[in-house]
Amino acid sequence: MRQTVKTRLLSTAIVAAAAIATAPVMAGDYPNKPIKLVVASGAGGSTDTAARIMAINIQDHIGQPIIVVNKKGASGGIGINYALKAKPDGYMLMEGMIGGHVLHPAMNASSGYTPADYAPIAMTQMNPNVLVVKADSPYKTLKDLLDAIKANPGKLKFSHAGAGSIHFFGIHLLLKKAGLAKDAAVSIPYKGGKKSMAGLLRGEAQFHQTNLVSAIGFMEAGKVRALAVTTKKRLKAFPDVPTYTELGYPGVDIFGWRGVIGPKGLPKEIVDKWAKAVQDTMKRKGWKKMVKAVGDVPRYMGPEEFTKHIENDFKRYREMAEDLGILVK
Amino acid sequence: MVDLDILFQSLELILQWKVVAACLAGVIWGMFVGVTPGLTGIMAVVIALPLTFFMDPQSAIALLLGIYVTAIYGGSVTAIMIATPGTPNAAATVLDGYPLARQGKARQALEMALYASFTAGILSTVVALVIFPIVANFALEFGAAEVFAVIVFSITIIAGVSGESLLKGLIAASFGFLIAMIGQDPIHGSSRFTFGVHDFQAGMHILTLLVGLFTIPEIIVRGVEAYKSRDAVSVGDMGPRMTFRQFISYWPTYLRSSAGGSLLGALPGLGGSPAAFLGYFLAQRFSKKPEEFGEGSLEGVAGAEAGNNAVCGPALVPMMSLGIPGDTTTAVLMGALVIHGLNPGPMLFESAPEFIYSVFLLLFVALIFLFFVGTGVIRMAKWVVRMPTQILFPVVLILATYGTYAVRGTMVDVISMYAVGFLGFLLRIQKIPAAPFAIAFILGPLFENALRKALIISGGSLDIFFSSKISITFLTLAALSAGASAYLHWRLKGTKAAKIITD
Repeated sequence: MRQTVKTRLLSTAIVAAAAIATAPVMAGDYPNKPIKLVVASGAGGSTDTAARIMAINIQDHIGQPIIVVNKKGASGGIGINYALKAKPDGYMLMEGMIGGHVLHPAMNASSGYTPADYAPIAMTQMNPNVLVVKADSPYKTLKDLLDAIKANPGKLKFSHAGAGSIHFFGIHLLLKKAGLAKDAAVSIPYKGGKKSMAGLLRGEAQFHQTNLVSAIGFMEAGKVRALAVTTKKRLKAFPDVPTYTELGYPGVDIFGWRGVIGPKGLPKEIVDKWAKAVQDTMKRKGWKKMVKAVGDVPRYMGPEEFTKHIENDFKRYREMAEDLGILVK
Repeated sequence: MVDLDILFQSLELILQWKVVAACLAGVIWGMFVGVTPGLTGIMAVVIALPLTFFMDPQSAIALLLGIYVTAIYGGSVTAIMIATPGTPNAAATVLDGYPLARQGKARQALEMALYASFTAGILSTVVALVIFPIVANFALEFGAAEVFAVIVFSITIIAGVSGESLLKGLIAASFGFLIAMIGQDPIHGSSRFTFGVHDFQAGMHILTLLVGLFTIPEIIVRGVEAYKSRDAVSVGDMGPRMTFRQFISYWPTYLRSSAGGSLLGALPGLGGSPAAFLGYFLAQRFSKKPEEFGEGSLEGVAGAEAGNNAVCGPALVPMMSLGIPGDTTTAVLMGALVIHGLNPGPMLFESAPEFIYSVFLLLFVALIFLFFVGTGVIRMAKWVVRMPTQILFPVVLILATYGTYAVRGTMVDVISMYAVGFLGFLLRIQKIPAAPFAIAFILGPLFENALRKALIISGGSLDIFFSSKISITFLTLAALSAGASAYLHWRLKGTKAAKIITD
């Protein structure tokens, strides 16, 4: 008797397990288990923090816990390749980031993916960039700086967070739009935005473009002077800092972004459910407060708009990588 | 100097039960993670990070500091007991801690590690607290050229841990430098030596290398030994406690190794592992019994643990004063501060000085908790020594495999770990030491990065390395240290040869 009960329980369990395992992707009951959100950069970095802020807020709107998984390496390539191998059933998504999703494939033809291989769901936030020089620098305006570069080609140096980072592309975009040669200024790579700021302060470099959040403390303390921002309008906190657009370089509108991205072939129902959940999350006071605290600006883009934005970004940076001769085959 | 008024204000901030409780919770969690191979301090901090979003800033930072401090120590427990560094910081602790455990002196080794960690933690935090306002800009003095000079000096440590043959030490170091080159070019970002394997683009993880290098050869050698002798007994004994007199007798080591660790801690980007090796090296260089190092020297354990724990306090200085974190874990701490609207950087000291002091005071609280929780863990360690070899080794093997996998979740790491393990075994047969291998692997990328960056800055001129007092000082120290090592090796050879002749 005992035996049969055991057997019956066991067979029921096996049938149930099989049913769960073979259940087709049904958007109706999605999600019925926790969802993994892959962060393709190191734990504790800004993308990771953004993902964790999103994860704890959005689970109320998705209805299942969101587990953040860090897979760093190869400028995001490792984590993204990993997440792209997942079944498009909505249980493994990625925290989208300009570095790993666009810049890395834009300059590495062998990265294993391009934007055509993933499905952008929604942009959640952006971070404007700002061009800074040291407070005691002789360059008071963008024009001063560009004139100096023109007058001494190959002499002035800029610090950035590594070849292929947005800070690196940002300066090259500026040089290009200003009609200067790509080697008019010397590029000095650092490990991360904070160390490249330190390089500027130390005088190893004369100018530096970085995320606004990385520069804000130094701007407030009067250690650096901002020459231009990449936003369309001037920043409320720094009304004296002109935008690139008003200085005559509207093309230098580079900005970083984050969002949610899934693997290619994600069912439309799941994309829509997430897009809606992201919108709801972005209305939450807690989310807004945390995002602002880490220095990002909330900015929503739905699936179509986000996809288009990524395609444009990719095209632009791929062209630049080819121009600069840094495209890795 | 310390502003006492602000210091008392900050004392009020932290003397609340919830802050102290958060700190204790952090210490316990950090200890659990520290003694579990594969769970690194950084993971422990990150897992706890979302919790802190909902806490007040003091409790949040108390929790994270508790984890931070404890995880650095916790790695030493497995390093001593099973030759597996629980965290990368504990690599240097294996060198003498594990031989001590094999000799039935596990208890003394564990106590030494705990007391040295505690002492160095307190000393370095005092240093950080007192000199914070003065050296807030210290890290800025160290450009690429200066960092290069410090690393050149650190590389001379290789000679100290080479054992009997300097040549064999250099062979081991070459392996370390070579393997460290796998991954992305630090300047151009292109892949190199990846052999088409995507996962290699991230380079070899330090824990993969350390576990392969230290744990696997040990299991092979001891396993074969136990199999041959049909003797599956355990070490069985924790050995005697360490006496207070013994502890006190190493005071110069605590001071020297803490000073070395504090210096490296205050420089962004170096982290705990080089500090541990520097601490170990300093202990050996000034020891009265340098020949005991590597065979089971308490002084070696003291040096390594004092070195890595001395990083904690000073690493917070550049993070809070400049917004430049010293290592990955302090970067996460910084993230937590930012979430709470405390933006580390030049403004923090002016806007919230009491908060900065409270962070250092919390470090003291965390260290005191660490002391008591650590004492408890040492008691539990007796289960490991009592375990018979035929059970212990499979368990260690599982921990090593799982731990390697857990760090990044890829099988490539596990395969690499076993490959390194086999290489480590071959080296061991040839009596080529593992420590220079590990040091070269840790310092290699730092060396390359600083050298190439400095040369880009100078436009290819070598003058940059001789243009500041700091870099000249460290390069001179490096030359002296290398010279002294060469001399010592030459003399050691002389005495050995003499011994053979008289025998």
